[in-house]
Amino acid sequence: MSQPPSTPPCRDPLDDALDALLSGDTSPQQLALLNDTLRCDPEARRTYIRALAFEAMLAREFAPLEEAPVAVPTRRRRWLALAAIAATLVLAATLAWRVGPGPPPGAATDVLEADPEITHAVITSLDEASGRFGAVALSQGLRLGEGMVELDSGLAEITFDSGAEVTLEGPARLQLDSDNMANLAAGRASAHVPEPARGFVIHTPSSYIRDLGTAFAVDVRDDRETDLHVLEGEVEVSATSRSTVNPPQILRQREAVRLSAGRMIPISFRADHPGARPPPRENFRFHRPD
Amino acid sequence: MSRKSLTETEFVVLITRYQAAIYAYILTIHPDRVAAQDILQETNLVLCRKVGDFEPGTSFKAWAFRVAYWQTMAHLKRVQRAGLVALDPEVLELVALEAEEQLVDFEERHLALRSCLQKLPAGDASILLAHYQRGESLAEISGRLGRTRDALKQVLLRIRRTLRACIDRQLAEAART
Repeated sequence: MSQPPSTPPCRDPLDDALDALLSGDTSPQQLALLNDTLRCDPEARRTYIRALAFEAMLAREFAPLEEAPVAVPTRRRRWLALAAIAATLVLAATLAWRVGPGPPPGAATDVLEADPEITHAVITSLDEASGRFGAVALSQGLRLGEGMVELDSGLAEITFDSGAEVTLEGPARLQLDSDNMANLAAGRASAHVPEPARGFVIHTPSSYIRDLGTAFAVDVRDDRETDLHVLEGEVEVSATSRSTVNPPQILRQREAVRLSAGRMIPISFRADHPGARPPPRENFRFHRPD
Repeated sequence: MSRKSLTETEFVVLITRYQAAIYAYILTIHPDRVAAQDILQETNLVLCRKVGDFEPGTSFKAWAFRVAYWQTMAHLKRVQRAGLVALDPEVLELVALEAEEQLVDFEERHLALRSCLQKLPAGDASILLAHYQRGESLAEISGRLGRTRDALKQVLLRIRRTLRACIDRQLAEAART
């Protein structure tokens, strides 16, 4: 990728010092260099500000909306919660903007009526399901924020605000991270990902799976092993473990792998996945008619 | 607008729109991701408390930055008293002044980043996720991935460069159309 265009003599040590600053291990020498260079060189200040602003974007993209209103007086608490809701609305609007004209960001007329929780998904159907989200029993229409869905038994269909639909088969535990990302800690799930939600991520103790459209099934067998079946379209997957990582690989329809200890082993394709029987919704189809 | 103060809805819309920019502004003055998050919280509270001081029609972003500046400076004083390293106050004043001007296109760049992240390979995304979301240190991640810390630093550097180049490209494309 392209280097910063101009290269004054101090650029390289400054870049190093900036990197050290971003990774949180600046040496006293680097700090002195930063102080000197930033004081004297406006171009260095611009570089610094650009780097930090970019860092801020990344930090917020990957840990969005964590402003939990803790220990705030009631009235202010409400304000903050409202701000958080509005933020999710803006995010939703952003996602909509990606696929087509949606409501303008800041269409906040509903904000004041909304439940003061940041939510990412909703339970769209339950089939003989028993389980909870935090302390709340699962029920159809329940909005889910960041947190763990613990499904003891049965099937639960969860629709993320991105549009991705996940069918969970109990016993399973699914941690919701954002509108388009979840961590399957245990159990089986399948995901149906419509075009607007392309890029939907499920990570497990041994894998990181990113949907490239449109359906896949994940079975977290234990902390070390995850099975992945691509039901439709394509999926990008990397095997992760505490000691290794595989470069991501693209899997296609009717391909299946077992991810274990950072390795990816092909396995035979199976069709019996959560939600495959019975389909919870008319449009919830996993198999392309042959 | 001739009204004397914002409605609650207007305030929520504005404070929400600029959350990321305020965070970025704080981070340039106090380059510590976790502390910057705390300062953002404090800043939000002050903005709530002092919403009556804001004059509709003037720049909300500039007002929020001013509040964030004082909150950050107060925090830095505590950090410096505790003997923790930080950049010189005079340097930070310069940075704060210029950051406000430079963060003018922040929202646009932020949107571009979102679409760039969609194109990022899963392996790279998982590293960013570990670092930024789970707060794992470079040492932890490199240990887990079986790479040296320096190698991981290079990977992160490459990811940052790729994303920043992608953002620049997107903005250039947007400017053309």
